Amino acid sequence: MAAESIAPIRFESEQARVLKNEAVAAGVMRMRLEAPRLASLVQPAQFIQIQTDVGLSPFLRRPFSILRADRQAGWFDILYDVIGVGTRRLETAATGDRLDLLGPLGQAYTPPDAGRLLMVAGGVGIVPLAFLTWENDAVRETGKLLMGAASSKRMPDLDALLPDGLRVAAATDDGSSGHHGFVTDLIAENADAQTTVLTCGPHGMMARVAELTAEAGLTCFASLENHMACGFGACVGCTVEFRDPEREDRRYRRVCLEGPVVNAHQIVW
Amino acid sequence: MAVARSRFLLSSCLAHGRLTAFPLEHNDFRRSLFANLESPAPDVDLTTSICGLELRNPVMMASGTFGHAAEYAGLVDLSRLGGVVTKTITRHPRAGNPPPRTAETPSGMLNSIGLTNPGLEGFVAEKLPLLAELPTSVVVSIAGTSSEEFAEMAKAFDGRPGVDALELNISSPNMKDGGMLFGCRESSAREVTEAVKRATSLPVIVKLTPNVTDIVAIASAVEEGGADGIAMINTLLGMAIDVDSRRSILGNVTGGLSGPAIRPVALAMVWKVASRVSIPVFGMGGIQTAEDALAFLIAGASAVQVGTATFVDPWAAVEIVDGIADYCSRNELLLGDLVGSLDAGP
Repeated sequence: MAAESIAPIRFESEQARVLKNEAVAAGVMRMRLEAPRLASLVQPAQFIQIQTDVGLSPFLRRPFSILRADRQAGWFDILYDVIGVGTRRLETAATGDRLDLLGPLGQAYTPPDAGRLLMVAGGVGIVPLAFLTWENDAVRETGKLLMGAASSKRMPDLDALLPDGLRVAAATDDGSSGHHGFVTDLIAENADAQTTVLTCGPHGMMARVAELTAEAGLTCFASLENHMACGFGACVGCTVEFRDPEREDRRYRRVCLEGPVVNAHQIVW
Repeated sequence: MAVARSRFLLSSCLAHGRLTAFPLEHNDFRRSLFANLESPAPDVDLTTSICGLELRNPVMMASGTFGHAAEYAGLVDLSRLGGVVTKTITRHPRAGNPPPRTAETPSGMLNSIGLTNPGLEGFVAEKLPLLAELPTSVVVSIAGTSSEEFAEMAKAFDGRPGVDALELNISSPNMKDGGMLFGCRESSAREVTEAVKRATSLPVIVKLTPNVTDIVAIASAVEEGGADGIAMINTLLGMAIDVDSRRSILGNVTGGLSGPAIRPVALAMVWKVASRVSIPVFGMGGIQTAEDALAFLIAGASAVQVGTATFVDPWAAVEIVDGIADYCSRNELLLGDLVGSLDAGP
């Protein structure tokens, strides 16, 4: 074994100003942050860590994927479910408030050149997929996004989140909007042998996408989320279990550093 | 107390007129990008010589919170730090514990990482060559399943460029086959220390667990065993439960508590131990700001380690260095005057 050439870990800190923070569906918020430096740096699938409060509660930062960035105007958007102490704190942020950010974190995702990209999203899992459609012309022109939510109340207005012209199909568990059933039901009719699938959403949904694509012999990547202490590889807390480990100490890999996008067929769901 | 008197260059400081560059009132540790690089610290000499280590200042990165340091050399200016302690290395590679591995708790967090590491051979081949190039002191943390294994590992680092000292992790609550077991009994703590001291000429720092009845007795035992220094405290055994699922939040059920929540416990233990042993103490436990670090120094720690704070602010340790310099400058104190200066009288 030779000395490891460690990819240097670099990211920055920026004080962002809240430009907008509003509900886009039941329990789902969209926040626009003015942070010119990070807006110029973030790439699809990367995330930022937000200090939701400058005190000790919540103690840790919270990771958020990027929905869309306007590099000229110097802002980017995040979308978040209000589910815990950190996001409840974030929900109260008003226009003009300052938030301390770290980023960009995680590896950027670049889709393969050949074949169509089929994106399968659940809930706020749409975020990194939407950013990819904004940033990547080929994905926007030839790809398709399947969006699942529990109900129409939980389904944000997709036209407001996605670029014009992107092909989209929706599903709701209760049938109140789009296909009545799981979004995974729509994969077969939207894929051919050359399709690459990229998924992000609830664990159960991504596990099902991995299973279906494995059966169909399709390449599948998943953009994972996890509880994180640091978000930059130091705490080794946000690990996910991989199959066929090369080495014992590589059985678990960090979502924050090696991910967030992983080969969906290499991990233990 | 085996601490060299630091020289304090007040005249040069005044000449530069930079005495108030870093206000100590900084509890929210917010910071503009690279503030530490834009505003030079006061010219205060914080160098210190502790158990054979020549440190630029008394602030180090704690084990398990900064990887093997080399990967962050482009992020944090390591030349500003007193030193770094690597993530703990074991004889064989360890994958670590099943997730979830962290849980946020009031003013802190639990972890059950489980000493994920590439093992001795992997570390020596892949990581060690990079450590020799770092512009700061490097302490390698090791853990074993027996005194013999601790000694074997210590021997493997003897004379290796890039290793300035060893820290014996006899205090991890996340290692079933060793770890804290050694640090909970005086006899085993002494025995491990003796075995390692026989195997290496490197300075040996023993890291203690707070999960004991009498930490002073354990500290005295490792001092008798020949330890050059004591690092304390490791995490407190802790747990968090999800009442909906009625399961522990951590995959390993229990874990170690760190962060500001444990700071008062750590401070009292450091004070007790530093008052009773004659070897230097590296104090740690929830240090987030210069004020926190100063409290540990005043309690008797010769140096401090910053750990969990790095997760929230990777530049926290550098800011702490600047804050200590500013405090010494404002109060016209040498680092040596500060260490153990607690007025514990009525």
